[in-house]
Amino acid sequence: MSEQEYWVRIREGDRCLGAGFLITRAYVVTALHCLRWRSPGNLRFDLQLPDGRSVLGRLREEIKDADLALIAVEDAETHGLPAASPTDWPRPEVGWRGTYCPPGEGTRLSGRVTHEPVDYDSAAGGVFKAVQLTVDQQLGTYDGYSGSPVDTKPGEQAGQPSHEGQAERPVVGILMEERLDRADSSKVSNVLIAASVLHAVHRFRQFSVGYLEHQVCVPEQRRDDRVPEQADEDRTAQNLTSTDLHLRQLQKWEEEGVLSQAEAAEERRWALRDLRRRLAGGAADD
Amino acid sequence: MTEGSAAPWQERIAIAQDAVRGKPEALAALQQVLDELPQQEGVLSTPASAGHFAHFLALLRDLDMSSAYENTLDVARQWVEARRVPGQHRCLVHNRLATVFGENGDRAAARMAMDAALQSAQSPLDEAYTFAHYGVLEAHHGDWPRAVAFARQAQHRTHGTDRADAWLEVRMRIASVLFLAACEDADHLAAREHAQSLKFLCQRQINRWGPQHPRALEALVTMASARHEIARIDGDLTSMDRLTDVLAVAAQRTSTELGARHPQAKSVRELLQRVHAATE
Repeated sequence: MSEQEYWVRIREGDRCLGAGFLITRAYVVTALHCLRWRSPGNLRFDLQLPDGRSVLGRLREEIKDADLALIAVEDAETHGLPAASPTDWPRPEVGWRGTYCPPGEGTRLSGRVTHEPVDYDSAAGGVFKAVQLTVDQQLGTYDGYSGSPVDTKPGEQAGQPSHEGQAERPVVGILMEERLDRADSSKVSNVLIAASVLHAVHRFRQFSVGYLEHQVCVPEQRRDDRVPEQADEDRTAQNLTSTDLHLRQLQKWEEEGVLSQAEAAEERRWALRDLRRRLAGGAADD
Repeated sequence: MTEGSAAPWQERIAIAQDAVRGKPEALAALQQVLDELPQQEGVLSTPASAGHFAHFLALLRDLDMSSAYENTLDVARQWVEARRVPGQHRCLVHNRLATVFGENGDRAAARMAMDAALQSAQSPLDEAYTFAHYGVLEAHHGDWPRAVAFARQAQHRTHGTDRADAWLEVRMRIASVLFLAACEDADHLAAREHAQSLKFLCQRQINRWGPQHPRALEALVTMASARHEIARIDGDLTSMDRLTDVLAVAAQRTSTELGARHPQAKSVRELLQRVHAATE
């Protein structure tokens, strides 16, 4: 990936379903319509990387109204992938480039971003925050490019100096649709529509602060799960011990000024309420 | 806009936003705004104007106008040096400007702003906020003795105080500095305690601002990076991988919401590179 390319080719067996964008090492974002020809019920795909390697991916979420899909890379931490691709918000009047080519196609797309992101009524019936692009290459259709990343060169705005020292080309969108020619609707125009990466980030719950906060706290929340067969007495003792430790910590924080008196009192009430709930058989730490 | 017309910040920002959107005529208007800025009254006279100033700078950064960016920063330096900010607002304005100076690596200007801020503090909260902020700035530059000393000064001023929300950010900054300093000292016991405090405070911060607010995202990053460090101390590779993935998503949220050139976005990316390297 020395060329800083972040596309993936989504395959099911020998068939190429479309392209996707490796937004982090763990997730690929793509246009949901790329997956419409997958085998019924199949959720697993081969993800071919720019360096020729293939990794396995599993469909995690579909957002039908926005025509977006999220694929999780299996064992993501083992493939030596970059933790996150460079991304940015789309700036108008800059050049864009796509590094992806569909199988059998040698043309890489490029052109200009023409507008700030706008709400766009998708062919799938929903609305997404769209980046409108003109494309320089005249092809009969751009269908095979769906789901591939759109990157831009920072500082390419008219009249502006180039951004010194910025070698990366941040990805700003994911190609979604081609626009038909207004004069002849049987032809494709030179206008393409991409979903902004920002839009994708906002739509998938896996990218929400609430979900991420939960991920940060996983070990503590699963501590009880590790001993599902534990006897009730042991569980009660564990609950009392952890609450006792928490109450001691609250006292320490109050003494150190981390918590005010009122905050500490409120936290104590919550801790005791939580303990009562747990002793009564409720779920722990949720 | 004639010289001395004292264009309000909203107008300056609107012109800069037009330039970012690629409107060719906006660049000439923006140049005039930049030329007039050093002579304008009220540019940095209130906390609100300092916020507008930071926004304006961010737009210049987006435009890649590096010399204009530097000249505008110079305007702020001159305001600090000459103590032009009215006394009743100096503490908050200087705190805000010190952040901007710090983000641009100008430690001397940041210190000058913070020293004046401390002298101008008008309440225990102002003092604690400024000391905690000073601690963060010094920690950022790796001056741990000064960072810890400022954090302790701030902590001393939080004793016996009430009203949680107003103090939450101060407490987060204190805990953050003390956590980082403990890690630097390889004092793992203290690091664990401060990480626990940070987790508690960051969760409150997220609840306070709501999940869509940049400060909630900032708190999430603080919490995740602290827990990654504890996982690293414990040799817990599974947690390190999971937290790296959390930080990777946080980096994408920050870059796409604030723009890749925003200091917060750059800071999260640098953090991600460090934790990724530590995990590999």
